Amino acid sequence: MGLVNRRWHVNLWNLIIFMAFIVSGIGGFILLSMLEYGVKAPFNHQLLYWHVEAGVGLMIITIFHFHYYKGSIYRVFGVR
Amino acid sequence: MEKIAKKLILLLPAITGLLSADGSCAASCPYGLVNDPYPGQCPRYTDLNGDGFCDFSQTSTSMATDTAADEPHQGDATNHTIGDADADGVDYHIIPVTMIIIGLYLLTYHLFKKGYIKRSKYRRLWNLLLTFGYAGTGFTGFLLIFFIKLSIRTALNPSITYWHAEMSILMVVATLLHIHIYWKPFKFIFSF
Repeated sequence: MGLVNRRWHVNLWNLIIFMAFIVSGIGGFILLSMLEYGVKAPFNHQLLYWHVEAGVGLMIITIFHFHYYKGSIYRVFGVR
Repeated sequence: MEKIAKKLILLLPAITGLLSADGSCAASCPYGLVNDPYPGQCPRYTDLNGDGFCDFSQTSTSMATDTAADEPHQGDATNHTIGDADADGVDYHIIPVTMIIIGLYLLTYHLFKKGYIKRSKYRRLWNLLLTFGYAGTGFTGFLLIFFIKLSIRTALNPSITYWHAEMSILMVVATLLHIHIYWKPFKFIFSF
């Protein structure tokens, strides 16, 4: 079909993985820092919820990321 | 056959120990928290006795102490922060682990810039560490989700939480370094 080119498609999924990382990764880092230093905030519960939801998404999108950069993955693991 | 029977007999005390450990954790917090105040740190928050703390995070001794304690202390969530829950010595070493990873990155970056290591090796090393961080965080995260959703409480849960946290530090820092390594392609993701 060729409605979108590869560059646009890769950029879109890179943006989605970046957003998932911000919510899950940075959110988790904030939660961990709060746990470590005994800080309690009213948004803890919501942040934990979205951390888990985005984390599930992040793991799936990471597989897509590996798929469209499979050449790099092969090189990293020494397959080729 | 006889050898297998002997091995089973030798393993019996260990199996019994594991089963008793599981039994002792049957009514405990899957995160290993103690006196977790409202609204709780996970969706399993349950407060049947209405004292403002998750019942799973209260041991029988702490509940007895709470009951025996003066009434004004009940439901006083400010006296029971997450820090109290970590009073059993769980330290996630956020700053030291972050500093070690950044230090290692700066070292490899310096070696790459000075030409001691090739760009491909430098990128490969950090991509491997990033993959390791993602795999570790993802695997332990999925284990935690299953354990919490299925209400499986084992003696392993606190160590899974610990390694989930440690791996996530590696994952987050390595992702930020990955963005630094691939800064030029990264800028294009915002230009549709």
